[in-house]
Amino acid sequence: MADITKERLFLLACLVISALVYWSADQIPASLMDKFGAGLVPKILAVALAILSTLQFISGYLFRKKKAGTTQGVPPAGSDGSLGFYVRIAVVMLVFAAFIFVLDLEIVPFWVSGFVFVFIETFILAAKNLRGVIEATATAAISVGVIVVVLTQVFTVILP
Amino acid sequence: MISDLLSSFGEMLTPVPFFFVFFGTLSGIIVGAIPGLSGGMLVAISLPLTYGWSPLNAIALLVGQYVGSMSGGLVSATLLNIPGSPSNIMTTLDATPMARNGRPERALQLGILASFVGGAVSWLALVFLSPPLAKLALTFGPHEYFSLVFVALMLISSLSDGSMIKALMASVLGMLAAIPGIDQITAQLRLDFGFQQMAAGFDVMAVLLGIFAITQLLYDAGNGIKASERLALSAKMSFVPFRDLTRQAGNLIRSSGIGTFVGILPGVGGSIGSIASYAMAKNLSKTPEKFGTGIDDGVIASEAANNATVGGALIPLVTMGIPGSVIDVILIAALTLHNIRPGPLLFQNEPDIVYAFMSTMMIGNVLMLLLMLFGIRWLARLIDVSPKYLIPVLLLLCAVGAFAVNNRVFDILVMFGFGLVGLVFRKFRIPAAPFVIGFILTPVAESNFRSALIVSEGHLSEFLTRPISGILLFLSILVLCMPLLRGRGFGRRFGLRTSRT
Repeated sequence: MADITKERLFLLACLVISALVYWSADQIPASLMDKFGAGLVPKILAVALAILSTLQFISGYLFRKKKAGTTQGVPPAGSDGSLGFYVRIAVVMLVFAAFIFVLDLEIVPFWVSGFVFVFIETFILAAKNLRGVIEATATAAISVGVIVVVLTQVFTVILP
Repeated sequence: MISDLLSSFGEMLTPVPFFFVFFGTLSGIIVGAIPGLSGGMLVAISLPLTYGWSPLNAIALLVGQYVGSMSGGLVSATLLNIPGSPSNIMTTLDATPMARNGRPERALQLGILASFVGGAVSWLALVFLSPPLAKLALTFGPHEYFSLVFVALMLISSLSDGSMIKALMASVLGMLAAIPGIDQITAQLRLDFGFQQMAAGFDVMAVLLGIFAITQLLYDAGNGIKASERLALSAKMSFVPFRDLTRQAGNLIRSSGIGTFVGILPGVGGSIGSIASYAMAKNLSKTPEKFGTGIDDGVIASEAANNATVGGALIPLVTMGIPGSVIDVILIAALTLHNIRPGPLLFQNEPDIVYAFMSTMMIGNVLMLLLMLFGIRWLARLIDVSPKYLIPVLLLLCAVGAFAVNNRVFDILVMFGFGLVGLVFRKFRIPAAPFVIGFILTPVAESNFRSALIVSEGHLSEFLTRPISGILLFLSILVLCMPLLRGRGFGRRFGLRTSRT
């Protein structure tokens, strides 16, 4: 997908957000404060976001028209645009989301879910061989052990 | 004031608080030195862990981490040519060539000493400028306070990288993220979209952890694990001759002053300070062509300025509750977490907290000097730690941190969500700093804006007719026009153009 299309999608999303916010603020019942009530600032911000999104769209259109046919102003491709970059992020995010889901269900103690989480994430980032398995196991065991002991005994933090 | 400050030093030098300052400074240096990790991430992760502590111990740890992390980035900037944080970008221009020319120890020592002097100069500004500014802030009414916040948002938006419109959009999105929940004036529920968990809004810790920590960790994971070639330090220990430092006295003081001033500007951090200072040093030098080849002036200008922003940024925080930098946003959250209200009354109601900031900053500065000067060899080895071990562990710590404050898994989800928001911002080159500052300042801005309207019976003109408020709003218009002025050579004339190559 071209950068231009992605940016337009983002600006469209901002316009949708501003419309939703304005609508939601309009639903707030009137109070004794009348025009200075709870809906005032959200409405102002929604209008501001809509105006800025429109301005960005116009300035982006004018800029591209001026620079048409040249590569000036086009950011260079880098590692953060490659497929591998997005795949790695997606995999790490999926594992993290699964971890949060397991925490919410409270089916296993934190140290078990934490161990499995760190193991999988380390294995994803490490070499895919026996050494990677050993590194992932050691990292998970040591880090979760230290975190549980230090946080509960020293910092008196309640774990999920 | 001096007796209160000395008393605070006495208190922070007792075993328990001193241990936290020491641990905070050391952990800040280590994290700052490791590429891919940042001081903001460390402070954000540490904050929820201090929930059950006394406020003074929490400040000792967090301010120590703040000071340490600003200096730690020098190590990777010099030995790996990778800045440990954005504020060390300019350091790489001269520290790396100096290291590659066989003088890595000199580059590190000059940077460490410059960092110490920068921190000390800004500390003096913090101590002597804060009381009169705090008195001035007490005269502010809701009109003035709202206008000050408005200027802060305009400033951070105009000075952020890239499009100013995008930066303003980030500010507005940050403000919108702070709106859901119960309205503080009418107690009405708003923008909850029917979700019960949204009644309390988005927890500030979850948002900060998401934007500061999760975004960076996911980005680092996506970039893959790359082996870095680190320059070795020689086995023999030697120190930079004192006369080499005295020769740089003018550069040191000027750079420290620039960093302090930039730090005072709300929302502007170390990176802008070091860029401005480096550019000024180059413009005023008799041999500007030598900048970028590994000269003392470049290293000193950058490092003195970025550490000087620490003290400067604490000035608006302790006097007005306005964050001077993005890490100060987390310090404001820290005060709120410990039931201390930041704002103009902080100096009056909680002077021990204000003096704790001051004394901790200086203690951290001295500890940074000693730890880095004598521990640099061990620190250099730490930057070899592979991110494949750090990323999963830090993700786990973030989850624990987000859960710790309210004991809700919903907050971990919020953190995750804002981590994705941060990634989207990076993808579309939208700066995150205006977002977090808009988020943290919205409660203050909204309550003062509506109070001002109630007081003036809806007349917006009072924002302009009241002198201080009018001047501040005029400044915000000037700030909005700054990009135009920069384009017309204003920046070149005042030595603010950068020469990054």
